[in-house]
Amino acid sequence: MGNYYGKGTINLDNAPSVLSYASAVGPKEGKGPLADYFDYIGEEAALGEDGSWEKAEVVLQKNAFRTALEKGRLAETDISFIFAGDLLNQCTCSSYGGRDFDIPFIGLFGACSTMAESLALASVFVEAGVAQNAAAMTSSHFCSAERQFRFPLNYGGQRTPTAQWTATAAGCVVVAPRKNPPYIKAVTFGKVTDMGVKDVNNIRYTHICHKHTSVRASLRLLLFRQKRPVILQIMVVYINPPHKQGQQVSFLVLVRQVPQIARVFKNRTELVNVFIRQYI
Amino acid sequence: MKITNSEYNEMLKASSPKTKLHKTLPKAFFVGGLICVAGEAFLHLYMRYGAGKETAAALTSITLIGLAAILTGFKVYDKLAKHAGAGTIVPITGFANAVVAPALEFKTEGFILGVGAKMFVIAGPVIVYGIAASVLYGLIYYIMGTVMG
Repeated sequence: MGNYYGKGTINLDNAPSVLSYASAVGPKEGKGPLADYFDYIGEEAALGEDGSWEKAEVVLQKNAFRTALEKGRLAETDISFIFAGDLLNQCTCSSYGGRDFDIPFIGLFGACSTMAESLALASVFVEAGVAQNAAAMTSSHFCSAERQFRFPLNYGGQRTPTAQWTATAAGCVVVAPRKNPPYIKAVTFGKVTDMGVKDVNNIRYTHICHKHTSVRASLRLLLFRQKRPVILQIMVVYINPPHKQGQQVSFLVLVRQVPQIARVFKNRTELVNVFIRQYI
Repeated sequence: MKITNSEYNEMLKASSPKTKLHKTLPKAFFVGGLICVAGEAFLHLYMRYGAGKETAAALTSITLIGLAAILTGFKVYDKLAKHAGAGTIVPITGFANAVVAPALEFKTEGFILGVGAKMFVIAGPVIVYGIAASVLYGLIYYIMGTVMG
């Protein structure tokens, strides 16, 4: 049974496993440096849907979920709960995605932290033994986010130099009772912090300030105290299964389409260094 | 490490990319200037074909607005505006783009609550305060006229 470690961190003694994971992205992400790691790359932003960008986002989310099930050799009935959310009002895309599945659905909104939030909650549910397998999922679409938060796509406004590009992507992670690595040994929930950043376009910094405290706590706890590989998550994380204890672990941290941050970490030291530079 | 808000904002300012004015200003000047040259050309063209100066000016505005709306529809205007910035926003063509872009965007929400309601989401404030300012200006003009005789 898990226990409260303090400062928003919960230790998971049974350490649930990440059974499978999948990602589905749009064309721009498919041309990026992380392309090899995605399970599905759409050819165009509309992803075969002509109705709306929201519909395209639903396609991505359903794709990620189905692929994660396939990769874990699971059936829909094996999933006890779906924890999912997205950036839009009333979590439109997650709700419309969940409509197709006969699975209890827990809608979440954590903006950019929804993936971490859903993964943490799914892990705690599995740890507590109240869920057999739980799916954690999130999605965003550049066009649907622009429409909700910024300007119409064809509006001739210039983006500020600090503006970010919302990823057209969906990710799904299936958490299951302890079996094979990677394990989730602890989760940390961040606090709401206001660092007085006035530039609404500078999402990188507005979000980092939300996270830097919790990330620092997690880093210290997870990377320095624990000997085994762990999941550490900022936006969307894909981890290659580690070979042996103590060997290098591949961490892949995708933080939107920000070239300075989006990169592949080769080993634990580099990850720690980069995180400390970027976030702490 | 505990960071105060002002320290954090300093860090933010130091590491955030800045607008490259030496690049953006000439581009805006050039494109904005070209739009004005096109306007001048239309004006002369209409006057040559017999329109009075006022009619020709109105026709020029209509032509530029029409062209900008069409270019927005073809998704060309925003690509140009990405480089031109204020050069494409400030002329009358920018206003046309600001009305047509949301109209296109919100078509998926229907013609009444989508296109109809959201069409002025960007241009609306300009129209509201523009009209309010013109009313105020008119009042001052009227009062001054009466007082000065």
